Amino acid sequence: MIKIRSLAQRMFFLPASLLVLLLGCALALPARQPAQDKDDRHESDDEHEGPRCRQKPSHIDDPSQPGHHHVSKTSYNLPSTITITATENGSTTTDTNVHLWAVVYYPGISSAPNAPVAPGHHPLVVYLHGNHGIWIDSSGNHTCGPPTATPVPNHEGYNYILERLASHGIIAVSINANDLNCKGGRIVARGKLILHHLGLWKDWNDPAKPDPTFGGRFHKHVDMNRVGLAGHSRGGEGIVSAYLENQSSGLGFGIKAVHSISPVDFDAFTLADVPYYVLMGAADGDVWDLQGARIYDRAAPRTNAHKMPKMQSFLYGANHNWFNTVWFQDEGWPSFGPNRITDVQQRAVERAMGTAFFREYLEGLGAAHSLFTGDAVLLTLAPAKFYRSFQDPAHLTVDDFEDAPPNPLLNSLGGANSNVSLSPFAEFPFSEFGGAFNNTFFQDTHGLISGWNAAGTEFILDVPAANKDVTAYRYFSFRVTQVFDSGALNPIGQTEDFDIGLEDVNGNRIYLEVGQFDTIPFSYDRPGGNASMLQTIRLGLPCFRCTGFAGLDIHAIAKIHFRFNRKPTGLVGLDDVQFSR
Amino acid sequence: MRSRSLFILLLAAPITFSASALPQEKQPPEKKPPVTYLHQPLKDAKLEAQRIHLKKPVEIIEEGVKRTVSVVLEFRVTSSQAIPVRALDPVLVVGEVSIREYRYENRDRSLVFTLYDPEKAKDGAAAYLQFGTDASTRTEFESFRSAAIKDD
Repeated sequence: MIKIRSLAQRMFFLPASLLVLLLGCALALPARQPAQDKDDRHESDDEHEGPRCRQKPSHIDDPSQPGHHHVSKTSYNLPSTITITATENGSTTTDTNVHLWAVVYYPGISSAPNAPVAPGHHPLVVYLHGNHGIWIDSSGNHTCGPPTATPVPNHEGYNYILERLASHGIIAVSINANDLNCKGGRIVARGKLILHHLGLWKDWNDPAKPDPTFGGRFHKHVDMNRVGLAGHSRGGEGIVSAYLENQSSGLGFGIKAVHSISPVDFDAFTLADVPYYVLMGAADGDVWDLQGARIYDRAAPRTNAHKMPKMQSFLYGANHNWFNTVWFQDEGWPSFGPNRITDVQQRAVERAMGTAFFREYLEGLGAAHSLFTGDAVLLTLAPAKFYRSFQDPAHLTVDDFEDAPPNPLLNSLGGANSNVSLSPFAEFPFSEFGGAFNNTFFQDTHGLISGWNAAGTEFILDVPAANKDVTAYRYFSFRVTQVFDSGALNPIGQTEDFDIGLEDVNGNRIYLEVGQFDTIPFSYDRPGGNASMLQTIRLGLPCFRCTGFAGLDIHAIAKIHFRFNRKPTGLVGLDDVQFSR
Repeated sequence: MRSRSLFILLLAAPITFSASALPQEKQPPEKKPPVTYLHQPLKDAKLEAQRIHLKKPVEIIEEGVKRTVSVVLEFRVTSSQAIPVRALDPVLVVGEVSIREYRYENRDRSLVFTLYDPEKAKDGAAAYLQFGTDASTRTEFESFRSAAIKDD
């Protein structure tokens, strides 16, 4: 029987549907794919974002689910030791009797220990721990001495991710650096230790070299052109040192990915041409000033900005120690805060994100790339929350606020900036080393501080005519933080929100509410130590083409508007206003 | 799509976006780990200085300049607690000098700093210990007194 709908029904539902559709567009909800122009090059490129406007992150599969390889395990602690001489911050140190000791998880033909390696050339990832006690005393304490019969197996604290990497076809090594612990610095020395281990692996891969350690088990199985480095704490900076020395000394190891976990930043190294990922806990009670953010900020410097992606996760509730299972003490700050996550939850984040990072940059599997950009989240990591920074190598920086002398009314493209009633409105170093707006900044960048306590405030950036065509990009992005001000302009515990508008040369202007896309959180509550930490917000350019169907001409963008109209008061830091892939 | 279906779908869309029921990963029950609070001065801390005549002179290199040292000043910080071994280095500041060369002793109840230029420690200089830039860890000592230096 054919159901016949009445004319009255049709008269109601059709206009109502169109009304809701238009409302959805105005609120930037992806109710429907926006109108498409044939000349939009994005539409043939469905990588990551694709042509659609996506507001809320999608859900993807956990990249750290076990892979299809059997995982075998071995270790080495060579009978001969080495001497490491290193110069760091003007002082030269010499460490003798440094052991070459490590644990290895690798793809095997079975799960038995010391099994033959699975067929193929496998990428190599090397983890390195940081400073910690090296002897276990009779009470179970980890101390620097006197020596006991039981050394602290600091390097075995990352087995939880080594095992998972191996299941995905990666030879995953964690090296022991006890002989460099309980001493000052030793960042460059750590880097040299890593490079020495890479030299061992190069030899173990070479059938022409004698191999008393493994008897040739790894011959032709190690891909020394797909090497990843990961390090925690001092190890997190040691790997940066290793990468740079490999490059400056022409050692030739194919290091293709570098990943720091809660690193220190003693030596202020700058990475310029390797994918870099830093994971930091917001409740870090040791590296309390979140030094990894400085490594992130300096990476891909202004003069050499297009050779590497960089990414950062700022994990609320995570401490310093628990990324290593051997470092069982909780130094978290605050120790019993309401937003702390457990050690298991903390490591689940490293397992997922570390695996995603190395699978992408060593194996070319970018399915989880969106975890770093914020386009996707993993439900399995709840309740852990992390806020990210991300920069694609392909980007156009409209303003990075690095003017010397500071000039908030001039942007990096040479266009004018306008301030409509914002106060304060000035560029500051976002740093703990002087000159910052207040003492809640721990980064290594300059940014714009903007505050408001009345309606009608706006920050407008003019895009010069030479840069008006942004069709090569897929996102408008910027970094933002709520500035912690003890509740004066940013109410305690509340998220921030405002509008972003793009305007073309014809005066068409479309605003999107940032809160529809992402969250600008209140700073993580560390009594006496709150941090104003920048995070990246990315708005897909297709989203700006939705409203009214007339579309915005992204071949001819003239202005960018930050309209602070969603909250009656606010105080934010801004940086890296960009169009980006 | 029929218009009624479209209407219902569009009305439901925002609800779908906001109603994200987040299943949590089951975590095994674990014993609560011990807590160590780092943001405080050392307990019952004392500072002593001792002049050490090295049995075998050592070569040190600073700013690329090599020299031989046979007498050093060692500053011994002692505490009733284990002195934390952490990512951030302890630094002993004596007046204008920041001493970063150290070793732990006595199950971490002692921290011994070595100053290769004993003359840089000025009589009456203020002295304190701090981990990195973490001012909450600053442990103040009595001013350094040259007369109080012990000889080995």
